[in-house]
Amino acid sequence: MAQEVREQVRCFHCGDPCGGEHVRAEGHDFCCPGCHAVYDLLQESGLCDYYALSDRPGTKVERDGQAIRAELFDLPEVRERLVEHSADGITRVTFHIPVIHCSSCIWLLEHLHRIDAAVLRSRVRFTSKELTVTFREERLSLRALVELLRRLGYGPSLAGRPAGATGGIPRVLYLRLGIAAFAFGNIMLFSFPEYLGADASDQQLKRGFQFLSLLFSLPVVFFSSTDYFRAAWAGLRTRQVNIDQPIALGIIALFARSVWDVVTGAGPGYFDSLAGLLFFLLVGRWYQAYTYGALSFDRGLNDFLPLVVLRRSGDAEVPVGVADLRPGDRITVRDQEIVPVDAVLLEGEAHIDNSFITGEPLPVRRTVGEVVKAGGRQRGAAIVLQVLRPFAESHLKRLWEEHASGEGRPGMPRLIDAVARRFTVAVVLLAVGAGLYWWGRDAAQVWPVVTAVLIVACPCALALSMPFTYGHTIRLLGRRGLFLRDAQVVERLAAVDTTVFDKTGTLTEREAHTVRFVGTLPDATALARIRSLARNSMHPLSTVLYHHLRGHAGYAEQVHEEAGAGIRGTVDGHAVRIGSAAFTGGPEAERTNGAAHVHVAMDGMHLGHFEVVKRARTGMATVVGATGCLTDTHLLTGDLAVDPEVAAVFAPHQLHTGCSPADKARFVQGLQAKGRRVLMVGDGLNDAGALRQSDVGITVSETSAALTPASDAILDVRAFGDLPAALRLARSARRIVYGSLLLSLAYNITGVSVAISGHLTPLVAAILMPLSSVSVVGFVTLCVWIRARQLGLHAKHDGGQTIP
Amino acid sequence: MSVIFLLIAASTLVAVLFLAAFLWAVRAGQYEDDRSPAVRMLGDDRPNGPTNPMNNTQVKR
Repeated sequence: MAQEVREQVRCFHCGDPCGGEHVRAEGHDFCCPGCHAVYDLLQESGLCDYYALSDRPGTKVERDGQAIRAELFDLPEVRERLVEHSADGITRVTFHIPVIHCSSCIWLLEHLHRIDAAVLRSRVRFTSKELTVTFREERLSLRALVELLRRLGYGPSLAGRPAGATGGIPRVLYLRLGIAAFAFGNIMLFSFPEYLGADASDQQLKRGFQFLSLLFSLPVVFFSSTDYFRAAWAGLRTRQVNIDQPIALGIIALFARSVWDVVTGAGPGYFDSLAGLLFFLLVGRWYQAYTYGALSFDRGLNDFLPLVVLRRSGDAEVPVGVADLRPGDRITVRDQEIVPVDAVLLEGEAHIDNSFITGEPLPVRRTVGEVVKAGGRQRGAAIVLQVLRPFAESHLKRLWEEHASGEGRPGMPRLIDAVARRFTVAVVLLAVGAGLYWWGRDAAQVWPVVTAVLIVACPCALALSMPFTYGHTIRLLGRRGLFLRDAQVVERLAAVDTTVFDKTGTLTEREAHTVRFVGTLPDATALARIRSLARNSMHPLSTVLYHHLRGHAGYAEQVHEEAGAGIRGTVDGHAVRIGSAAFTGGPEAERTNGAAHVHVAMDGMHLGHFEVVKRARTGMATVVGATGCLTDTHLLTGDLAVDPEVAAVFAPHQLHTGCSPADKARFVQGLQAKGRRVLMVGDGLNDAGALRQSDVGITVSETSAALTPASDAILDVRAFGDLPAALRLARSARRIVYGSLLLSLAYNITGVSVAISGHLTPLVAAILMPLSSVSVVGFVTLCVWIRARQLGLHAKHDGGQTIP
Repeated sequence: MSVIFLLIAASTLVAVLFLAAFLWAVRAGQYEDDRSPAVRMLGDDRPNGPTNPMNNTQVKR
């Protein structure tokens, strides 16, 4: 009972449930000494507003050494990458800090000067998660600054973008949009006298306004619309019809006709429609960039490898860049570091966690003389390796290049292209037809009618319907935790008719395990002692045990870990052993379904063993079942047998065991050869081939640092249950686009019929154009929102923090 | 009626000034981070000290 109460207590600093290392101090609960230490530091500096700004804002201080070693920040090449400016002992440096996630983070990081007076100024750029610090370097070295940040739980990352590069929405788009908005507003005002019927005595005023409008429209045509001209021209050169061509034609027609009208005195021109057109189009562009720009999918392999490794020369260890490693070099890889190149083990015991590459979290043991492939993470004591081949030729790099690097995907034609082709041809034919018709009757009408047709047929609403429909879909799904690369992914997701799941790490959880004791369960004190000893081992099974067991016992003493066997030590005067059957003196038990066994012995007596089985993801059966109603489903796994829990939700013919990464890709290809549109749900590099081959590849990711090559979408594990609803929403989005296309075509047909009859006055154009754009955008926004609400996708997931 | 030309010139000038302010803001990077400035003004710069009233409300929760 007391146990359950304690589970409710959450850390005052980071909000995690307080478990074994529960610390109570100053009326607050902390889940670990690390969080308490940060609190103390903030308390001393009077920075506890941190906790007032948002609820449990802290991030756990990394203790497992996963972060980059602080020494690296002394290296000139690292320094050069980070430091923007350094003069007179004052240095400005920009860090990328991935854990920045809330208001409190911003507030704390911008008050660094209260913790250390050598910091002069610190500024957070939230959207790109960057921190710029100006500090006195003679009083605080770069390395000390990094260590300070790390103590606070805000360790900077060396991966990712180099300093200076900015993502997000390009500035020039804001400039184009701003200028179009400015011109639109002003020209509209200038047009009022015309529309409201100024009388002949104001002729001079009207002329003045017309020329002012002409003047204001110049930047719109020559600056704001350049992208459309460029895209239209690019399409022409490759002999492709695209949606930008009728737009460019419309802009040219609007401008030419308006200038002609004003100069000849025939009328006021359509300058307000022109500026309005560009304004609405650019708002669409901005929204598109706004929805996609938040995501960075372009993480390369280099972001996941150490920048620098320690090369041994004699007794010294010299840091060198990974790319500079030559065969024969000796390198040291410490606990939790990634082996960057294929190498032979020279000293130490390697426990290589290949979860990056295979998704399998239990480490593989390698002994001296064996080859360790690049990409594995060492768990345990430091090892010395001899480089076998340079990075460029490593297994990992090849795997990446074969499967993950490519961009283009055997494509489905985009809906917008298909629509644009027909639309453009229709517009040109109509314009020519109308011209010919009037040629025979009244040649003076040819010019006005042809330009009117081109003006009114300009597919503004059409061009807006897709960015907004798919943009809203992407935004809503992103808030739930499914991050799509771009609008095309929504379209392809809507067309999917077969779903292929990977098992390990996708349907089963990466870290969570079911632990069962086989034998007579020892009493609570004994379990607490086992736990206390397990804490001393880096082996993942020990970690699983440590987190699974409860209770406190004394510290383990005389601890000794034997590689590949187990760990022994003395707790409260009792000799405890955890490890293999042989190590603990017990009988070997029969294994089923890839369960791992951890035997325990107390005072020389074998007590039994823990059976550790990977747990299926919560809600897995529901997700597979619901997806099965929408599409065909298949399960691929590299294992030879499938856990009963997972096997139960698939029909026998849907299970495919013993698949290598290449088999997975071939399987997907086979389905596509039968005309299927395949959605692949995988978890990382071992599925990269299949993810790339599929029509839509979704990577299920537990951490923001996961390697997500070749995928079109990243699914946060917390949103795993939303997968079927997301499929439904994508399908609805496609139907909504069809609806909005019909609506905007209706506007175009109305407009064109007015234009052909020769009645398109500037006033009609000025009303029709914004009306169509606004109503189409409103229609799709409302439809997507209603549909998302029906599917339960409209609210943000609990738990706040999202991945990118 | 000719006074209207003066008025138009003046209003256009004001409009152009606002446009210039917008262009400056874009170039200064104000549109690249729309979250942190909003938070920045919430944290006030009180003198250093270990106690602060905001924290006490947290204790009660």
